[in-house]
Amino acid sequence: MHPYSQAKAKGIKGMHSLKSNIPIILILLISVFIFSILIIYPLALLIVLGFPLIPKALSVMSFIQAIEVTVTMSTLSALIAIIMGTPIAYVMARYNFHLKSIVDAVIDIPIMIPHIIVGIMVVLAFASYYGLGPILKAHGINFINTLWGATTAVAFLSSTYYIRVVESSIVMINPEMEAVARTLGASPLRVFTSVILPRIWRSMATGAILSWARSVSEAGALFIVAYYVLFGKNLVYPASVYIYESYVGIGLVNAVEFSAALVAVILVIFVIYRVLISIGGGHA
Amino acid sequence: MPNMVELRGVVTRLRYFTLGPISTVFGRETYNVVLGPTGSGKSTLLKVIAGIYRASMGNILIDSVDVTREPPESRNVSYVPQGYAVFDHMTVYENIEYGLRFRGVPRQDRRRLIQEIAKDLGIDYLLNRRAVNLSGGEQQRVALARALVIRPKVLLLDEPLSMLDRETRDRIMIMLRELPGRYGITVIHVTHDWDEAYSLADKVFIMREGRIIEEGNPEQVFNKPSRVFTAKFLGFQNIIRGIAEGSIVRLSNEIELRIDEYVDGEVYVCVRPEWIRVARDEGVNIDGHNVLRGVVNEVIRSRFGYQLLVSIGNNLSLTAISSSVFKPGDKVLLLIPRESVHVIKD
Repeated sequence: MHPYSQAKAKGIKGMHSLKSNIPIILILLISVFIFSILIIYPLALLIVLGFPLIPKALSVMSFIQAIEVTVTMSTLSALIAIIMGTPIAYVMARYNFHLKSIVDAVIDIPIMIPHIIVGIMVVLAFASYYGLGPILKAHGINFINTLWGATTAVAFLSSTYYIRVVESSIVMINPEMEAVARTLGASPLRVFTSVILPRIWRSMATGAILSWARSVSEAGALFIVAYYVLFGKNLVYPASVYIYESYVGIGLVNAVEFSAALVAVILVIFVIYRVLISIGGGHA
Repeated sequence: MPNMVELRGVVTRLRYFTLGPISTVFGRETYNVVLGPTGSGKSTLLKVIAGIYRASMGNILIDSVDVTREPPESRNVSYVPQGYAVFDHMTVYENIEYGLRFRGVPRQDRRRLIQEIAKDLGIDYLLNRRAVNLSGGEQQRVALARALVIRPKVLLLDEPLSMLDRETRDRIMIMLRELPGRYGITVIHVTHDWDEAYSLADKVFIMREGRIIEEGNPEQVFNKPSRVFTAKFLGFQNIIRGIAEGSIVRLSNEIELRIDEYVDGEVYVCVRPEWIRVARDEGVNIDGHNVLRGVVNEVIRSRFGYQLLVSIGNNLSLTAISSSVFKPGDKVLLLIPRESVHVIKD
């Protein structure tokens, strides 16, 4: 027999011998078991128990306002991530410079600092007697219990996700394309809009929705900066704080009701995003 | 022949590499091939001419205009990188149109120019396709059309043939050779393949460690290189040290070669394997010069014939190409025509 086909036959035989595969099957079973208990089971329980209660939750005016505040704050923070993060992502993807590793680490810091501390930092930076605080106060800009404060806190925490997603998609673009576009007559800005942007807008959308979702789920920093938000003329809890309040103040069943409703709202927005992306052209 | 591209003491410092100083000229409407091993700085040279890298020192002139401080978009240079960098989020038509849009060419004229160039390069059937899943040869021609349609003064090609199969390569080669005359452009083509350079070039440039160490017409550089590095790189597989006395070079106590040149002192003797004739050694007495006795050590098949490694005694061996087959251990005679022996003075 030819040595190659011999080896092949041996390999196939090896595939079928159950004995040698037992460790792999075992590892797989353990993994699936933990995944089911840890992720699927709590999610399923929330949906099963909470789903019938969603209409009731969504008829509570204060909860609708809470969602409004959360969505507004998260959307603003996603916009900040796009404006701030896109150029940074480009530079990180394209250039090597001194201290790049330090900048790299700084970009990751926000996801490593405990969120309560982020809240403290925002208050310290923008609403204390130090740094910018007095200047902002002189101009009547208040960060405590306002949409600005809430947005600042969640933007601090969530823009890292956007930068990383966009950066990794810029790295995938052949730099020679930019070189060619330049020699063909495009200015750096035109190169960005005609070569880079068409290739990264999907990642930008994905990054933005990721950081948006991260902002929606924030609670810790909001406890410090904006436990409630002055929204129009009302004092409104952000959705996560609202659910916390309902759990502490009323009880588990009440919290489940609102939790299921918030999860449903997030899922609907995710689905809408997916549909928009696929309308926007081909594969996401 | 007036100059098209002129480099005056150009130095470019990159993080891990320094190019130059380079001073040279590329003639108008000529085909120039820059040859060098990997890492010699060929691609960097192209990018400096294109303006993608800035020159740290020196000046670059294109058509007598100093463009050293000009950005790539105003240098009138087209660049086709290795791998072609076809914009695959556009159609082939949009790819070719790209440069025209920045030149204020009206839509009607754009259409005509694109159709002309596409027809010229045989890709008109591709125009409406998205530029994905094109074959290597198709990508190559799309990239060329995109580069040529803007009528640049200079066309820079980085290893344009390295990603093509042999058949496509031979076809594209003919097309490339015609570019300077047909489009009135100066081509600077970078490669590590000396066959390619020999077939295409009006002038060749040899690069090593960021510098151009030798330049000239192909016949001269390929047959009479002035440096051992160039000789080695250009396929002189036999390079042996010897002592020259007039028109005789001694390779060892017993082996000597007659040469056409007249030199004295330590030299390198360079002979291309294909220039050596191989005959079976029937044991007859040999008279006449430049015939060496040897024993075949190794045989490697090649498309030009059998490449033999023949040991000729005194720890010396020569590589020769033979059209008839030999096997290791065979005794052979090597005939080296004196005009085929190139000598480089140490």
